Amino acid sequence: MTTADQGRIDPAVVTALYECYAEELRLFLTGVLRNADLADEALQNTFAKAVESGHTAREESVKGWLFQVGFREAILLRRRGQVHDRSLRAMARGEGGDEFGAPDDRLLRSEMVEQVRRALTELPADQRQVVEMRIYEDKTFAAIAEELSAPLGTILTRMRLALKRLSRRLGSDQG
Amino acid sequence: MIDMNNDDFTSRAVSDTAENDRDWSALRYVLGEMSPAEADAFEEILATDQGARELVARSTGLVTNLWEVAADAATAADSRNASVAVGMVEVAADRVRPADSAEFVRRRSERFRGWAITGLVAAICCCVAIGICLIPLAGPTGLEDIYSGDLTDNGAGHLVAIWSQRLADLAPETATTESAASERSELPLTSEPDGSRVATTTENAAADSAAVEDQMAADDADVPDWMVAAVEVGEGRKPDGSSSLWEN
Repeated sequence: MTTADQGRIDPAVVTALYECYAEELRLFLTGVLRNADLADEALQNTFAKAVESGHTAREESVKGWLFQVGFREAILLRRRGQVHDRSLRAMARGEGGDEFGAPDDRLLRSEMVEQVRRALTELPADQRQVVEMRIYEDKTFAAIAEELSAPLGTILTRMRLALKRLSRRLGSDQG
Repeated sequence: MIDMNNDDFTSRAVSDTAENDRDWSALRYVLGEMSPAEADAFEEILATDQGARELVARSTGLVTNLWEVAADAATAADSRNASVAVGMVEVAADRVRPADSAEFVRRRSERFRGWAITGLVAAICCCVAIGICLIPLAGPTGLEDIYSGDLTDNGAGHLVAIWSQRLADLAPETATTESAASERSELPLTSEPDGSRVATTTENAAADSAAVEDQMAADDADVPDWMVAAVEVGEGRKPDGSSSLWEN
């Protein structure tokens, strides 16, 4: 995986790693930073590190190595005070970059949106209600429990069950 | 029949519960539901646990997809509103846009002509209305005289009176002379102590009488012929104002 004379990863290998792991790594970094621009910056820094010192990673654990380096880069960026606490909602509105800019990407995105919409409609009503109140109305679980006059544990259970169903359904659709 | 011993079942149940808890922790971390202490503790796990990192990535993808559904619906609503707005703008533009330059000029000329006629009619109506309102305020006029019974008057006599008044205005000296003669005739005869004064007064009276007759003769000579004719015509008018000359 490395070029022996320079101690650097072959650029073709880095490209293959990028195509294989970049999307998942971007999601992870976005979850940590809650900022799509900073997540992209951390992603670029991660693969720059991979070019420089990726040869130190074992081939069987290169994904873990990338995620670990990416997490460190994200923490560094956050400590520099560059996190503006923009929510994932802004990224979903397309403010976080042009990751959906290409026509093929837009098509994939629209297909994914349709899948999620169908999965949402197939949820039981009480679970869908909790998901909509938490995700779309941006209410805390405590506020949802108070509004629905239900115990907090019940609300959390509904949310967990809903997310489990959604993950399973979307996983099967994508599989 | 499912072949499953208790140890396998228990371990799988514990594993599922642990996995669910990790899923739940990842989701709460992504949604920002964790307290700062919980978040720090979870990030310590993320620093070493690749499974936890992948759970965070999966939760982020799920939440992002859910938000994209909402964003897509909002975008669709915005585009519908934008389409309605564009349609309204186009309709408004069609309403204010001239269809053709020649057609526009022709329509404008017709409109101007219509307005001109309307304005002219309105001005005439205003003038008539103002005139009707001012007639009662103007007082007696020559025109009013004609229409309000002057026809029953002796028009020629009125004309002579006007003529005489004009002559009086034009000849003040003549009027002064007459006044002086009148004053002299009114002087008391006993005011003079001697009789010469009486004789003189008699002579003056005769002279004055001759002068008045001369003046009247002169006045008669000053009356124009047309006035004489007018007087004669006026005398031929009937009491109701109608003239016998028009009834031949």
